[in-house]
Amino acid sequence: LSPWDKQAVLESVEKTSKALVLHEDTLTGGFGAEIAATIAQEAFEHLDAPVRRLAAPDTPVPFAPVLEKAFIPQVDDVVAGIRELAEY
Amino acid sequence: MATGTAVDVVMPQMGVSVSEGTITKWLKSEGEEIDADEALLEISTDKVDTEIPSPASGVIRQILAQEGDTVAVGTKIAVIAPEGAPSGAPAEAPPEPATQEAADEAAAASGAEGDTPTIEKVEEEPQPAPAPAPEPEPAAQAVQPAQAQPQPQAEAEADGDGRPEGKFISPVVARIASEHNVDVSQIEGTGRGGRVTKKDILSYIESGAGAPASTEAPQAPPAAPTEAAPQAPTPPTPQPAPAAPGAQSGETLEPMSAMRKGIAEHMRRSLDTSAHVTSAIEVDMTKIAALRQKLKREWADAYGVNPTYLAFVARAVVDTLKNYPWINGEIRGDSIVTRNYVNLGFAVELAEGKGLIVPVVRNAEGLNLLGMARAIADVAKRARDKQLLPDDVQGGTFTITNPGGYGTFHGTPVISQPQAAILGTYAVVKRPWVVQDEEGQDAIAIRSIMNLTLTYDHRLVDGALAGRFLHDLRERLQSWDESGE
Repeated sequence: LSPWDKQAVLESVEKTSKALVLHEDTLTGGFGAEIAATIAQEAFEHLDAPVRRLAAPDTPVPFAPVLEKAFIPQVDDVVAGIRELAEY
Repeated sequence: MATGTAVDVVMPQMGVSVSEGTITKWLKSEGEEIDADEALLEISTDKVDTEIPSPASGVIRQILAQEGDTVAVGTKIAVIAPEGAPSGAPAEAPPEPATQEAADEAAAASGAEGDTPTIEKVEEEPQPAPAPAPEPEPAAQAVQPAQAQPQPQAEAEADGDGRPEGKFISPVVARIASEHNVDVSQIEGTGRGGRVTKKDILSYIESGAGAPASTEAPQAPPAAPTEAAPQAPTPPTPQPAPAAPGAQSGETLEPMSAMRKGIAEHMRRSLDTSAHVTSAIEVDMTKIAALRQKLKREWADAYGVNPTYLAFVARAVVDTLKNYPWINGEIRGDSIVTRNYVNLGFAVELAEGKGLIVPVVRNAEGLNLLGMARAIADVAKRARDKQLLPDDVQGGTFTITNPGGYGTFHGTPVISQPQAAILGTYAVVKRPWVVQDEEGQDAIAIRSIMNLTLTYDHRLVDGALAGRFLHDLRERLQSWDESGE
């Protein structure tokens, strides 16, 4: 995934001082790690909370539809994640 | 940290202003088992004496502070190893989060791991213990939103592994604080665990409570207290020391002398230190006035010294202080200092009203009236001629200030630290005064009256004591022995 809009991300972090990176991919080695690392490196002095990643667990994608749904981050997860970040 | 990791027990904060506590008794010893919430030790602070419950179940691995030790709030005083863990496994360094989960928690809790005991405290006792709330332990989740008080002491130093011991300061807060020269420990945090958030510091700065306004107006108010503040990512311009605004039209600026700065600092510090209270008394100086007239001629011929009212008062003060050691004393730490000597300071105005210095007459208790008059004249002259030595202005135990030369009849001087009191002497004026004649009848007479004020540090000297001192001083002056001493 290149190029990605680094400038927009950094501007957002400078504005809000917080960031939540969300993707469907598994957490470890996902692209979100790249974004989080960029934020940490280039906007460190603007951070007011740890950069938070929300992603699928480090397992193969389950086959059953119910499990697949549980595997992928859902709206509730995102809401909870944002709330926690806001309260930090 | 529920299981698997050792739990640190720290000295809890038992009140907003409490900064340290003394361990009075350990109820458990090293190696003993303990349940969570079981009483672990007794502590004593200047506010309360209380038992501290254990923050966790397990075995007491290590006790780091002994009975009788006084330690600062937040200091680690014991380590509790969780149940099941081999108690002698120090390889697993306690403060090191062992698992990913623990690491996350530690980060979230901003190093507040040690505050566990305080949390249990909140639940059990009506102590106003400011409990930094967020605790990894599920049991503590209930009190999660407790408002934590920022500790007044700056404890932001990081420990060995870089984790802040006190409150976590995020990068953006640290940056804003240094740009605006703000002390973060002064800000009340609303974030998790009492953390100061970006929002907190911005609204603090906007409220003007922080550092002196920066010189560049456009950048000064970072404004917008809302969370989504569109704070422009302006490159942090290093602000020079905030300069005061220049002279306006009609004003003149002159630099403050070192002495002026010293006086300013000392006066402010004195008011911040002592609890100033002033009592005043009227003294009938008629007898002394007559004696003074007589002595004036004698002394002028014999010694070239003027028997001033100040010399009489100083002499009487020294005698009276013998019975009031606290007024001649000082508070040093937690102790009260008293002395068997009086080093009497005299506030002397320098030329042109440009300053003030307080030379000290040492061992004034050994001086008679003549000696006192000489000593005062000597230090006053040397003060005005700038001939004083450093020793001449140090070590005072009591001070007299004499603003009465200009006719003022009352004042509330500021105590010269670390002394306990300062006497003000005011103008001697002739007043119609009610006296008793030989038959015991009231009559109005013309008397020479002087007001004396004693401004004292109410931390050490109470009003009644000051009143008795002034009363005794008045008696001594009014019944001055004719012999001249």
